[in-house]
Amino acid sequence: MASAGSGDEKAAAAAMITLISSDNEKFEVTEATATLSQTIRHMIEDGCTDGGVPLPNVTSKILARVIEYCKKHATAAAGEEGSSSSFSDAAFLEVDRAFLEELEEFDDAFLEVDRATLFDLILAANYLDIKGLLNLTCQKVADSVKGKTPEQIREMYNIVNDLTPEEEAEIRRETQWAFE
Amino acid sequence: MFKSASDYIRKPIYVKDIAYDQFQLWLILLCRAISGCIYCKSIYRKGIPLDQFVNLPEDVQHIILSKLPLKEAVQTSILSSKWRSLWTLYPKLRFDGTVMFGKKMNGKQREQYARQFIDTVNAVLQQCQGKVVEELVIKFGFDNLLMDHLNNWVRFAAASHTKFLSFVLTPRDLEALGNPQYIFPFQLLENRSIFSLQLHFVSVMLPTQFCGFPKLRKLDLREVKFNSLLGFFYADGANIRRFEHRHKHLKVVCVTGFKASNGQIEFLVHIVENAPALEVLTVDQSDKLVKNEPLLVKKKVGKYMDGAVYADVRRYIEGTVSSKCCLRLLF
Repeated sequence: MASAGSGDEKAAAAAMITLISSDNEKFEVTEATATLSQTIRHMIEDGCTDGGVPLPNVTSKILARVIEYCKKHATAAAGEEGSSSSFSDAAFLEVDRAFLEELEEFDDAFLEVDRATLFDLILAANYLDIKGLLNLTCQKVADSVKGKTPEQIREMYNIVNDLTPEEEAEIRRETQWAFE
Repeated sequence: MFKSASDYIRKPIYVKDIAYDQFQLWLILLCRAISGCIYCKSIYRKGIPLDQFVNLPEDVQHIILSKLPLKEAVQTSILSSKWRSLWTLYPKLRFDGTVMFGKKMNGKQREQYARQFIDTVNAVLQQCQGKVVEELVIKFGFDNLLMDHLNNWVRFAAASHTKFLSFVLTPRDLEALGNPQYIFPFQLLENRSIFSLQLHFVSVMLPTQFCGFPKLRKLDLREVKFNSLLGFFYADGANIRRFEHRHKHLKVVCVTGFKASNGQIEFLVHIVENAPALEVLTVDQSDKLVKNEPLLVKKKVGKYMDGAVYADVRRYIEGTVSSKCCLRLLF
């Protein structure tokens, strides 16, 4: 299965994998969906997915969202198969534009979650090694910080300013250019 | 609440006759758990624990910070003591003069901006010393003041395992365009990790002992002056030989301001002969750096025109590269 040729892919589409959340809920997904996670892909390659894949770091609530994302993106990933380098823009352009727009809408809607869920999704995406989801969720956090004053960011993320006025002045001096 | 809880714990432990210091340990742990709980509650707001960001894995912090403009990433150092040095993990350092100071940078102000630019870059690089910096971009109008610092920045890139290096310098005016003063110091960049190298408006003179960039995939050279016959040949005893297969992974090459000078032709010959994996080769004779003045550019290009040489170069390139390579020969 390591070298996913077109024949293997068809077989993979039919094969089902069972994912087990930390609270012991079972999720049946196609292998194509599951392998969006590099972590699970490696498990499948090593042949250790019989009896289900336990994911002790992911709750059922988060896992359900992650699977929702993977299902939607599994088809998109099939198009990118084999183009691991970032310079293959040409192949990327061939993917149907309408589908990409739909995917973008899906992503936007997907990110409409509270901040705690967003951070849980980040941790899950990181643990499961799902690059697209990790990028998407991290971008959301970065966007939420963009253009905000330090006070606003502290308020938003409950950051307690434990710097003394002296330390604060020192930081501002060290990186004066960034605060002008 | 605490008292009743400890009473509750105490009973079964005494019944089972467990040693007293073990019980004490239990009690301490319990106290910590309860006080932790009470403490957290007061600073929990909308169910979010204190500063979740700081507790994320380092890789994830990298990703989030790298999605912020550098300036904003640096500003996060003021948030709290834990945030103070987080930004120095920032893997992409992009210094763009026009972003920092706007587009109007001329006359006396130019020098002042150059100084400010240099101070900024130096300050940031100093704080990122010893860290891995994936990308370093220097984008600024060339000024003599930069000369002393550019080499240091190349050294920094070499030491920081930089993968993407860009020196995008722009000439002060059209007169300067043909003669970039800064000689890019390849000898300082003995860097095995370089993936992508972008050089605009510099001179290039490869040292004779140069061992190339084994991982190089993308090479973008605009208004680069190639110094002829020094770089791509080396002396081997009595013979002068060409470098062979130095760029196994090189896929994309772009050269603009192509005037069919000896150095440029030699460079192209070297590339098409030594980059077997080449996918896209762009050679453009126009000066992409002064887009807004197309008339002047045309005039200047006109001076170098020699139809026969261009045709020879074209024929040679087309005959040498593999059929898989996409050629964009704009001359």
